[in-house]
Amino acid sequence: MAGYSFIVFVIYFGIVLYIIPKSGFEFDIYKIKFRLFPHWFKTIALFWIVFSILIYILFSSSIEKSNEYLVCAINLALFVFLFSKQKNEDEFSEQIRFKSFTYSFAYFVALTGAFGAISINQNETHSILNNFNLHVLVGVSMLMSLLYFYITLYKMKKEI
Amino acid sequence: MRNTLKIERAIKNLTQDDLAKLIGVSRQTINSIETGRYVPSTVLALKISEVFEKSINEIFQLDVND
Repeated sequence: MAGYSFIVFVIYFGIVLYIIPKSGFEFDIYKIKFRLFPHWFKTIALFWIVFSILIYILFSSSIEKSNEYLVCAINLALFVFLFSKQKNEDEFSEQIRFKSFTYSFAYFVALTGAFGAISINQNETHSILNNFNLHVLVGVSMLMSLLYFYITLYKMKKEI
Repeated sequence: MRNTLKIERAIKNLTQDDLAKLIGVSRQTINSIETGRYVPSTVLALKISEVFEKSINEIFQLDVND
Protein backbone atom coordinates (compact mmCIF):
# COMPACT_ATOMS: atom_id res chain seq x y z
CA MET A 1 0.00 0.00 0.00
CA ALA A 2 3.06 2.26 0.03
CA GLY A 3 2.53 2.66 -3.70
CA TYR A 4 -1.00 3.95 -3.07
CA SER A 5 0.31 6.51 -0.56
CA PHE A 6 2.90 7.71 -3.07
CA ILE A 7 0.27 8.04 -5.83
CA VAL A 8 -1.96 10.14 -3.53
CA PHE A 9 1.09 12.24 -2.62
CA VAL A 10 1.82 12.93 -6.31
CA ILE A 11 -1.87 13.62 -7.10
CA TYR A 12 -2.08 16.24 -4.32
CA PHE A 13 0.96 18.07 -5.68
CA GLY A 14 -0.39 17.77 -9.22
CA ILE A 15 -3.72 19.30 -8.15
CA VAL A 16 -2.06 22.20 -6.34
CA LEU A 17 0.15 22.94 -9.34
CA TYR A 18 -2.94 22.87 -11.58
CA ILE A 19 -5.24 25.06 -9.47
CA ILE A 20 -2.62 27.67 -8.61
CA PRO A 21 -1.36 28.95 -11.97
CA LYS A 22 1.73 31.13 -12.46
CA SER A 23 -0.40 34.23 -11.92
CA GLY A 24 -0.82 33.06 -8.33
CA PHE A 25 2.71 34.19 -7.62
CA GLU A 26 2.35 37.64 -9.16
CA PHE A 27 0.48 38.99 -6.12
CA ASP A 28 -1.74 41.04 -8.38
CA ILE A 29 -5.37 40.95 -7.29
CA TYR A 30 -6.62 41.17 -10.91
CA LYS A 31 -4.40 38.40 -12.18
CA ILE A 32 -4.78 35.87 -9.37
CA LYS A 33 -7.41 33.37 -10.35
CA PHE A 34 -7.80 29.79 -9.29
CA ARG A 35 -8.00 27.37 -12.17
CA LEU A 36 -10.89 25.08 -11.31
CA PHE A 37 -11.48 21.58 -12.64
CA PRO A 38 -14.40 21.05 -15.05
CA HIS A 39 -17.82 20.32 -13.54
CA TRP A 40 -17.64 16.59 -14.38
CA PHE A 41 -14.77 16.17 -11.91
CA LYS A 42 -17.44 16.38 -9.20
CA THR A 43 -18.93 13.15 -10.55
CA ILE A 44 -15.50 11.49 -10.51
CA ALA A 45 -14.98 12.64 -6.91
CA LEU A 46 -18.36 11.25 -5.84
CA PHE A 47 -17.66 7.99 -7.64
CA TRP A 48 -14.27 7.82 -5.91
CA ILE A 49 -15.91 8.25 -2.48
CA VAL A 50 -18.47 5.49 -3.16
CA PHE A 51 -15.75 3.21 -4.58
CA SER A 52 -13.49 3.80 -1.54
CA ILE A 53 -16.32 3.03 0.89
CA LEU A 54 -17.17 -0.15 -1.02
CA ILE A 55 -13.54 -1.28 -0.95
CA TYR A 56 -13.44 -0.47 2.75
CA ILE A 57 -16.57 -2.51 3.48
CA LEU A 58 -15.34 -5.48 1.45
CA PHE A 59 -11.66 -5.61 2.42
CA SER A 60 -11.22 -3.63 5.63
CA SER A 61 -10.46 -6.77 7.64
CA SER A 62 -7.61 -7.80 5.35
CA ILE A 63 -6.01 -4.36 4.91
CA GLU A 64 -3.83 -2.92 7.61
CA LYS A 65 -4.66 0.70 8.54
CA SER A 66 -7.86 0.51 6.45
CA ASN A 67 -9.43 3.45 8.34
CA GLU A 68 -6.46 5.65 7.47
CA TYR A 69 -6.64 4.69 3.79
CA LEU A 70 -10.39 5.34 3.68
CA VAL A 71 -10.07 8.82 5.19
CA CYS A 72 -7.12 9.55 2.88
CA ALA A 73 -9.16 8.54 -0.19
CA ILE A 74 -12.23 10.52 0.89
CA ASN A 75 -10.09 13.59 1.60
CA LEU A 76 -8.60 13.47 -1.88
CA ALA A 77 -12.07 13.18 -3.41
CA LEU A 78 -13.37 16.09 -1.32
CA PHE A 79 -10.39 18.19 -2.38
CA VAL A 80 -11.15 17.54 -6.07
CA PHE A 81 -14.87 18.19 -5.44
CA LEU A 82 -14.10 21.54 -3.75
CA PHE A 83 -12.00 22.74 -6.65
CA SER A 84 -14.41 21.73 -9.42
CA LYS A 85 -16.58 24.26 -11.22
CA GLN A 86 -20.31 24.62 -10.72
CA LYS A 87 -22.57 24.06 -13.72
CA ASN A 88 -23.02 27.84 -13.94
CA GLU A 89 -19.79 29.17 -12.54
CA ASP A 90 -19.76 32.96 -12.14
CA GLU A 91 -18.50 35.69 -9.81
CA PHE A 92 -21.25 34.99 -7.28
CA SER A 93 -20.37 31.30 -6.86
CA GLU A 94 -16.69 32.30 -6.80
CA GLN A 95 -17.36 34.67 -3.91
CA ILE A 96 -19.34 32.08 -1.94
CA ARG A 97 -16.55 29.57 -2.60
CA PHE A 98 -13.89 31.88 -1.18
CA LYS A 99 -16.05 32.67 1.84
CA SER A 100 -16.57 28.96 2.45
CA PHE A 101 -12.78 28.42 2.18
CA THR A 102 -12.19 31.16 4.75
CA TYR A 103 -14.82 29.59 6.99
CA SER A 104 -13.24 26.14 6.82
CA PHE A 105 -9.72 27.56 7.19
CA ALA A 106 -10.70 29.36 10.40
CA TYR A 107 -12.40 26.17 11.62
CA PHE A 108 -9.34 24.03 10.79
CA VAL A 109 -6.80 26.41 12.35
CA ALA A 110 -8.87 26.87 15.51
CA LEU A 111 -9.41 23.14 16.02
CA THR A 112 -5.81 22.21 15.17
CA GLY A 113 -4.56 24.94 17.47
CA ALA A 114 -6.89 23.90 20.29
CA PHE A 115 -6.15 20.15 20.04
CA GLY A 116 -2.47 20.89 19.42
CA ALA A 117 -2.32 22.84 22.65
CA ILE A 118 -3.86 19.93 24.57
CA SER A 119 -1.49 17.47 22.84
CA ILE A 120 1.61 19.24 24.18
CA ASN A 121 1.18 17.58 27.56
CA GLN A 122 0.19 14.19 26.16
CA ASN A 123 2.25 11.14 25.38
CA GLU A 124 3.36 11.20 21.70
CA THR A 125 1.80 7.81 20.95
CA HIS A 126 -1.55 8.63 22.59
CA SER A 127 -1.71 12.21 21.42
CA ILE A 128 -5.16 13.49 20.49
CA LEU A 129 -3.64 15.14 17.41
CA ASN A 130 -2.18 12.02 15.85
CA ASN A 131 -1.87 11.43 12.11
CA PHE A 132 -5.32 9.83 11.76
CA ASN A 133 -7.14 12.55 13.71
CA LEU A 134 -5.36 15.21 11.70
CA HIS A 135 -6.59 13.57 8.49
CA VAL A 136 -10.13 13.48 9.89
CA LEU A 137 -9.84 17.15 10.84
CA VAL A 138 -8.79 18.05 7.30
CA GLY A 139 -11.75 16.09 5.93
CA VAL A 140 -14.22 17.66 8.34
CA SER A 141 -12.92 21.13 7.46
CA MET A 142 -13.48 20.44 3.77
CA LEU A 143 -16.96 19.12 4.55
CA MET A 144 -17.73 22.31 6.48
CA SER A 145 -16.62 24.31 3.47
CA LEU A 146 -18.87 22.27 1.16
CA LEU A 147 -21.83 22.57 3.53
CA TYR A 148 -21.43 26.35 3.77
CA PHE A 149 -21.16 26.61 -0.01
CA TYR A 150 -24.20 24.48 -0.85
CA ILE A 151 -26.45 25.76 1.95
CA THR A 152 -25.77 29.33 0.80
CA LEU A 153 -26.50 28.42 -2.81
CA TYR A 154 -29.68 26.57 -1.77
CA LYS A 155 -30.90 29.55 0.24
CA MET A 156 -30.31 31.86 -2.71
CA LYS A 157 -32.26 29.53 -4.95
CA LYS A 158 -35.19 29.45 -2.54
CA GLU A 159 -35.73 33.16 -2.01
CA ILE A 160 -37.38 34.44 -5.14
CA MET B 1 -27.35 49.07 -1.94
CA ARG B 2 -30.79 49.29 -3.52
CA ASN B 3 -31.57 48.40 -7.10
CA THR B 4 -34.45 48.49 -9.55
CA LEU B 5 -33.51 45.31 -11.33
CA LYS B 6 -36.88 43.66 -10.80
CA ILE B 7 -38.72 46.67 -12.21
CA GLU B 8 -36.35 46.94 -15.18
CA ARG B 9 -36.86 43.26 -15.87
CA ALA B 10 -40.62 43.66 -15.77
CA ILE B 11 -40.43 46.59 -18.20
CA LYS B 12 -38.37 44.55 -20.65
CA ASN B 13 -40.50 41.46 -19.97
CA LEU B 14 -37.49 39.36 -19.01
CA THR B 15 -37.42 36.50 -16.53
CA GLN B 16 -34.52 36.04 -14.11
CA ASP B 17 -33.38 33.17 -16.28
CA ASP B 18 -33.49 35.28 -19.47
CA LEU B 19 -31.41 38.03 -17.89
CA ALA B 20 -28.99 35.49 -16.44
CA LYS B 21 -28.43 33.99 -19.90
CA LEU B 22 -27.99 37.42 -21.48
CA ILE B 23 -25.17 38.42 -19.14
CA GLY B 24 -23.69 34.94 -18.63
CA VAL B 25 -24.38 34.30 -14.94
CA SER B 26 -26.61 31.91 -13.00
CA ARG B 27 -30.22 32.64 -12.07
CA GLN B 28 -29.25 32.56 -8.39
CA THR B 29 -26.91 35.47 -9.02
CA ILE B 30 -29.72 37.58 -10.47
CA ASN B 31 -32.02 36.58 -7.62
CA SER B 32 -29.38 37.47 -5.04
CA ILE B 33 -28.79 40.88 -6.62
CA GLU B 34 -32.53 41.60 -6.71
CA THR B 35 -33.01 40.66 -3.07
CA GLY B 36 -30.03 42.80 -2.08
CA ARG B 37 -28.00 39.86 -0.82
CA TYR B 38 -25.25 40.31 -3.34
CA VAL B 39 -23.60 43.42 -4.71
CA PRO B 40 -22.36 42.75 -8.25
CA SER B 41 -18.92 43.67 -9.52
CA THR B 42 -18.53 46.76 -11.68
CA VAL B 43 -18.17 44.53 -14.74
CA LEU B 44 -21.44 42.73 -14.02
CA ALA B 45 -23.22 46.01 -13.20
CA LEU B 46 -22.05 47.40 -16.56
CA LYS B 47 -23.36 44.32 -18.36
CA ILE B 48 -26.74 44.75 -16.63
CA SER B 49 -26.88 48.44 -17.50
CA GLU B 50 -26.10 47.56 -21.12
CA VAL B 51 -29.05 45.13 -21.28
CA PHE B 52 -31.48 47.73 -19.93
CA GLU B 53 -29.84 50.60 -21.89
CA LYS B 54 -29.60 52.70 -18.75
CA SER B 55 -26.71 54.06 -16.69
CA ILE B 56 -25.59 52.10 -13.62
CA ASN B 57 -26.78 54.93 -11.36
CA GLU B 58 -30.31 54.55 -12.66
CA ILE B 59 -30.39 50.87 -11.71
CA PHE B 60 -28.22 50.81 -8.58
CA GLN B 61 -28.49 53.39 -5.80
CA LEU B 62 -26.58 53.73 -2.54
CA ASP B 63 -28.56 53.00 0.60
CA VAL B 64 -28.51 55.15 3.75
CA ASN B 65 -26.38 52.52 5.50
CA ASP B 66 -23.79 52.24 2.69
